Amino acid sequence: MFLTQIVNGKMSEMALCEECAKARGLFDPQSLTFSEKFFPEELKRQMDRIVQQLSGGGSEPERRQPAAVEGSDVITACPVCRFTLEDYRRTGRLGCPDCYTFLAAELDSCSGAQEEDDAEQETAQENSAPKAQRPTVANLSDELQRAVEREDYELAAHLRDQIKAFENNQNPTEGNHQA
Amino acid sequence: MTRLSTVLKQAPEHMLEPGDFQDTLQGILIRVVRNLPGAPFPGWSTAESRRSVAERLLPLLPEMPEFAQGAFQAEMPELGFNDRQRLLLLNLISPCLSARQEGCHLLISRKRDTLAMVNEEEHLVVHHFLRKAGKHGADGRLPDLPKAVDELCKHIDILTTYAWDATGNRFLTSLPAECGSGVQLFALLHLPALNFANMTGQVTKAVEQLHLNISPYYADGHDDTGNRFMLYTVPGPDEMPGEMAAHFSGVVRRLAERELGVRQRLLREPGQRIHDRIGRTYGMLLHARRLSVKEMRDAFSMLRLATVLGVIEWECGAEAFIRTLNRLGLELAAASATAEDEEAAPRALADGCRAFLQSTPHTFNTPNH
Repeated sequence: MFLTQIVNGKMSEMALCEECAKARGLFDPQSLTFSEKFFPEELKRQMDRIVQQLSGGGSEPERRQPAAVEGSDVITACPVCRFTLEDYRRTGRLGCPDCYTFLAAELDSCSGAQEEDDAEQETAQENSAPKAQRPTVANLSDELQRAVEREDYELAAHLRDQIKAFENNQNPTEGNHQA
Repeated sequence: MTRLSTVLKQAPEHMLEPGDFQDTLQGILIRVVRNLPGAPFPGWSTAESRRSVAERLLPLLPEMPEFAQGAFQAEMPELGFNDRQRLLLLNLISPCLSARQEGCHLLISRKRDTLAMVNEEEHLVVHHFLRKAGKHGADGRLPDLPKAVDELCKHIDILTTYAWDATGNRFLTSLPAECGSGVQLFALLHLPALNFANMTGQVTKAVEQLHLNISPYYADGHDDTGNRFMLYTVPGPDEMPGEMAAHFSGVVRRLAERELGVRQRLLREPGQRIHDRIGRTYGMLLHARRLSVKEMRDAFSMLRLATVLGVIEWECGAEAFIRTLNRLGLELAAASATAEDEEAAPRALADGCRAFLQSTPHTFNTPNH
């Protein structure tokens, strides 16, 4: 892929091979995080870092020296392929089969954190899920609001119709039971 | 050594035959991934290390019985853009490998039912298309999937030692979440009735509850192109390949039976919606002067449905007609994908469809009610 960067009106272009681009999260535009999309300064900082890393030349993935967290024995890069934990967090992939051995503890902590996040999300979803109760205009409106916020327009249209029917008949579910 | 022109000359048999369960199940694909120990995964490797992996794997692959009768073999830079497009259309390469270059290799068996891809997402990726149950398909039997998976894994695992985690009893892959048996199953399904009845959303939810996924077959931005869908297992550590295959077979069968049930329901519907759709499709193919590939695929899907439902009877017989239709669809799509004149392509597509329909004797059965 080709990276074009304009800094202070000066344009620089760089050709990245598939591996370099992928390893830096540039292969797929969808891989940009929310903050990178909506806070371009953050994206620019990342781009600057990439350009700096690549200024040494070469199109192959950069091999950093195995690193350890200062003052501890924790290994943060695989000594075989020099894949780092940061690379893993960015791409979700590992560099070689030996990464499983050398980064095992750190991988566990990463996946543990991910599981906790997932569990929290599930709990939040459960809490926010509408309970089986008789619908009212108020809770239908709340649901409509949430549907619009997450751009689920199909559901939103359905809820809008339900609210209209509710307001007209005062009881939208009665018709369904009778039918 | 098989030549590329031979490989591309005609579509593989499994893509032409009418599917099982009245043209519902087009085929099953078994995907097996393995990695070599001590070598970076392809996504993090240099061209040099990819070449080294290829040097270790390529001499071993011809030992697999699937490649015993000879194979086509190429390193990716040897394949041009049009070759890759045609291979993609014929399911003879994965989209991931088709975008790769040095150190990445493709092997296609003589029968074109097995592919070995070196340095795709993993070091070795093998795709094996299970030929349809064929003679058995008529009574609704599926191929023996657990046995086929077991045999393919044995043929691969005997070749060399792969990256294996003895503690977790799993093959290691570049994506930690996908470590496990390294086996993934795909079923290629033709579901025109479920799609017509707007039931694909329900199907998606139902298969998700069964820990499977379903997605449109053609990833070209149109969700329902050609009414073709792909049901697939989620790779991971959960199940043994045999259990997974048995579970998968059961879901495929239930889905196919559901499709057949909806077809019958649509046929009996007093509103004649399905007859209306088939008639409109037929008229469009006979008179259209410009067609997109999506329109052609949608229309061909309706013709296949009309054929198995007996709405259109072809003098050559249903099976021969579907084979010809499938071949024509692939040829026209390939011609369109590689056409240099983008303006002329939709016209050529419409002309091809019209000429085919006019030259194939048939009877259109109008419902009595």
